[in-house]
Amino acid sequence: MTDTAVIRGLGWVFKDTMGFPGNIRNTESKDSLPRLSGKTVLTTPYKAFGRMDIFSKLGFSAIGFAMSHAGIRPLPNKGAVSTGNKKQIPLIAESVTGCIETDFLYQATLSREQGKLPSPAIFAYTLPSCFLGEASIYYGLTGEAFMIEAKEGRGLIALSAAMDELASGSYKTVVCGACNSDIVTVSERTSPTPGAVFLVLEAPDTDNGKRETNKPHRTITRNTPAGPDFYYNGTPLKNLHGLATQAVAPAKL
Amino acid sequence: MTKVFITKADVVTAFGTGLDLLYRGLKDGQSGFSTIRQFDTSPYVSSLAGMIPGLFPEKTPTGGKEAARILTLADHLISRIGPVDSGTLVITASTKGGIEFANTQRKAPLPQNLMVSDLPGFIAGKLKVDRAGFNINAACASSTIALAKAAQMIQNGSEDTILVFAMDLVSEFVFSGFSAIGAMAQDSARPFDVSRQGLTLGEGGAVLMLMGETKLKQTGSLPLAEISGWGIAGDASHLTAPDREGSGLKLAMKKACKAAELSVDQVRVISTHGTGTIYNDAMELTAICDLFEPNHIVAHSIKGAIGHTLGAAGAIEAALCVKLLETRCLPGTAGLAEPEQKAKPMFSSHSQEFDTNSILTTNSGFGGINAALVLREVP
Repeated sequence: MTDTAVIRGLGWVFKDTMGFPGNIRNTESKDSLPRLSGKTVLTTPYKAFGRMDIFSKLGFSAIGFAMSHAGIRPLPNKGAVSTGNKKQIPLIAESVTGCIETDFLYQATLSREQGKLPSPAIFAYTLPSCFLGEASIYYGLTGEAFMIEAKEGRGLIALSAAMDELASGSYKTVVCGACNSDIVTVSERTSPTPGAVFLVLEAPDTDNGKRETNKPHRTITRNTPAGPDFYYNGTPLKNLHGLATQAVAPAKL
Repeated sequence: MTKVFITKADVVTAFGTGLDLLYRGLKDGQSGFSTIRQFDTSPYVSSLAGMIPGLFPEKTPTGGKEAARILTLADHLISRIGPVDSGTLVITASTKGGIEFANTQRKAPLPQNLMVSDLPGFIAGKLKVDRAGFNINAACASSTIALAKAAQMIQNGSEDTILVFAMDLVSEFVFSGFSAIGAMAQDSARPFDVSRQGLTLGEGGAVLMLMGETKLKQTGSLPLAEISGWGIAGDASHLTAPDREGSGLKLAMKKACKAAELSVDQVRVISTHGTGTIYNDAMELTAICDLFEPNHIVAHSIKGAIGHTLGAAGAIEAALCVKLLETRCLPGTAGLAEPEQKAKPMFSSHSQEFDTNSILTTNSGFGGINAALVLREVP
């Protein structure tokens, strides 16, 4: 079986660059993931951004860049939220270690020797799917949202799940991606590239008046003879990070 | 459209190992709560939880004995399902896995097998199957979504047999957190009661084997129930508090009913999330009463008896629904003394019999995520 999805948006945060095609920024910190602030990442302010943990900021920012690239705007303000202006778009993310840095941070607050008390603010972000909830609120997305945790964390399981949703006709637009912190994982693991990359995908027959549908280099194709193989612009896709790397050359997207 | 069947279902809960023990414990109105011995609870608002009896690892691996309890729980579940076809895909659902390793080890390298992303591989290895899948993490709706995704993969033909393992434990990490955010009851949880104070945590696991109808015929497996519908939806409202209107839950239930070709008038039995927190239970009552006719519904929550088992809750409740479809008896809601006004027509502390062939089961979680399944009896 072969099916295809159109890339409407692509956004990422890595050690060296972040942004989206046409708006790529070099980061100042090459050795670690950049420190992210609402002012540098968001077009519309979101109060909760400042209190998010590092992992959530990473994933939320990459989703934000992908949504900007796709032309999908956040809800204007909390007061404007109603069932009518929410969007049926799911969010599917993949990771290896999830929010493990936040877990360690929270665990440290339990240290009785230091007379500390458990922090409710940190605990709230010890679920790796939290940033998907935050993105749902910011953009008013009422589709499903869940985190896939897998050994490799390359984003291809999330991509496959996203393409399943498009193929089923349940959704016309899906957001999927990978988010991995730069904590060193065990040596036997395949370490994913630290950072986050997200895609806004659409079914090929979606007509939103914002894209040209006849450009094959803007599509991802999935072949599933034995296991899913993905192709971007005819080239095998081994991870979503590779997609962002190709996009750094602006002509590609 | 390929039908999806549950061919095996079992649980490990505070009532012990086995679905029958869970059903009997609930029906007899027993409490699975006990005083926690694993860690000092004096700094926290409660000392109670639904602890699995006798869940102690034999060895102390890297990460510590407490963390390794998750692997012992996996072993318990594996022992309940017998031989498995080598082509079976293993999916897990857990929010924190063996997170207690964070207490003894605070830097890389991370211990093997205790991260949730390790669990499918650990279980696949034990079962000697070569298809370790992934873990689904969506807060307290994790295993409901894992079952929905597994059913979807079977329905679209990409898989024919999937084993879903759902597991979560009571660790100091999680216990302290729920205490800190003010969601925990001082004594036992009292879902849908006017005087409810919050949730009581529990630990537990479930294993369900899902199979498509072609594979079912090929293998001659006996179907226990059909997963005839599923729906997932977000509130897009608040990170840790449910939407007061229950908009996401209503949407998830509508989707599940539509997929099951069940009109809302035909829904008669609901296994609710029912954590016992003020806001969750109020949200659920609003959603249920908006969508269904309360006088036609019988409903319950099992969290007043075994506690809130977090990511495992949905699968434990789905496994229980298999048993309920067989017995046509819905155990009462433990801890319920004076139901909320809206709950009165639907909930009881006593068992309620029913005569329909399907059950709607729902869960909701942090991030405003909601999921619903419809389980149907196989004629």
